[in-house]
Amino acid sequence: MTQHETEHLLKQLAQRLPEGSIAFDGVLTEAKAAHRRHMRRKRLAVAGAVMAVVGTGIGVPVALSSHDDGRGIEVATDGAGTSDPTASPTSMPGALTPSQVSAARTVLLTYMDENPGANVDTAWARHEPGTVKQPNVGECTSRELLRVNLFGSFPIVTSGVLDPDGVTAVDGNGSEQSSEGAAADPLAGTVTEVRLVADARTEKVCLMSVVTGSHDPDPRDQQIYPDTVVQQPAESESDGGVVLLDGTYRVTALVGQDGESLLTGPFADRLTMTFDGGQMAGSSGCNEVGVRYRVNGQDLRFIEPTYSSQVGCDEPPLVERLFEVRHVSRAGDIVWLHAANWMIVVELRP
Amino acid sequence: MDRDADFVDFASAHSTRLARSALLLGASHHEAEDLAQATLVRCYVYWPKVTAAADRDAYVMRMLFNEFARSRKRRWWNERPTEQPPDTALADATGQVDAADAIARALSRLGPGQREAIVLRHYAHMSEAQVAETLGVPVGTAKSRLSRAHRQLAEDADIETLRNGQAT
Repeated sequence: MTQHETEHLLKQLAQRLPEGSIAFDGVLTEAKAAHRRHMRRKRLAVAGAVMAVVGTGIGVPVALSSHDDGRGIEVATDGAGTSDPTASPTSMPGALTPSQVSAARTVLLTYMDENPGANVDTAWARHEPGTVKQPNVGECTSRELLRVNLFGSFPIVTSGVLDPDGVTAVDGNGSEQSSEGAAADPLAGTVTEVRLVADARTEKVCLMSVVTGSHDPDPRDQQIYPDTVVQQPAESESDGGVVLLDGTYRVTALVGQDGESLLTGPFADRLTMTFDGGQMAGSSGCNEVGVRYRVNGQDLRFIEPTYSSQVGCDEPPLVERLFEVRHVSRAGDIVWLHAANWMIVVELRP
Repeated sequence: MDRDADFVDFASAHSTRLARSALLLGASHHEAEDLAQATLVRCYVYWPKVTAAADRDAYVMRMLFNEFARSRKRRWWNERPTEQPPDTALADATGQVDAADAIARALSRLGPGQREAIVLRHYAHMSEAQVAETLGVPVGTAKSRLSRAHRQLAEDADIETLRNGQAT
């Protein structure tokens, strides 16, 4: 069959669909609504990320200091808590060396939204361990920085919260800085510094680098920022970042795409999941379901359903939501299944 | 131009092509329109990525293919067995083979990867490299899929019937 013949036949079939069959006005309206939902989900992902800090890692608040070098304002975590707005970036503790950059894999930056009380976030991912990714336009924002969360191959390395005074500092006024104290990271080799640059001209904030290294403990280690939830993980439950999943759980939360609870209706308290070596068996309310899964460290994928009873009932869409799961974390007995952006999809308890 | 204006221009230029591509992938008319609309909506949501894509056509076509795959997965899951199948019979195509029917049936007999490759190469008029990029496979794989698809189409009974002048 010649190329011309193939193209001719495909064209004939394609022309069964008339030209201009889609109403553009409707598409734009729908697209705008979808965009609003998307932004709302991203905000909810922040809550998921904060929960992940609680759930899987060592949540240590980090102070953020600022510096005006004439080109813009640099905001950096200061491991020792000695914020000095006049110091040059290179003189900061824990100066950047590639060998020190290790664990951080994803950085989640949370910014103030235009609407008071609402936040948006931007995820920044570094794929190659031991390297620093340079910022580009896509990783800059004109919004005010509110919160920094770091994720690593070992679940959560550390997290920092910029208080409202600090927020003022990133948009061009170097005289103001975070007034809260710092909490030093007690673990050698973990992240101690996050460097951000705010361009005074464009007022965009960019992530510059993530610095790791040990430092002396600070007497204010125990101070906790108001917005930061800190909880030591149950280390016995994880093995080098590998979340131990096998076991039987109750589904205590099931979250929809828009952040709404899906645990409603008469079957809401009957959802269970049992993980056993790559095979999940459970109840989605009134049906028995089985789904094959693959877990690798904190990465979790539900691959395909293996069976399901077919009772018609109004049950929560457990299995459909499981296919959105990409990560898993746990603290003690509680397990969270997260979407790709770390938004919590499912909460499990024994 | 602002995002909305850019998007409307983009949608007006691409919607029919997207819908027709979905039709060629195996979607029904309504599904094809829905898939094109869903793809355009995703384009708007991820507009910065769409505009920054090195090959925008390939990027958007990949979005369409993903939407199509998702729709198939959803449909599979949502389908429930029934003891009362709908009482509608497919039209008997014997003796009524037209070109579009023939290629539709021939395409339905191709594997999904081969069908995607054929649609991209001969409807979207993409190069082999673009086909490979859109499908997320090496160029060699795209070429072999195309080659096998061509061979299978050439040997297809409906296409053969069409060639022999039995089409209406």
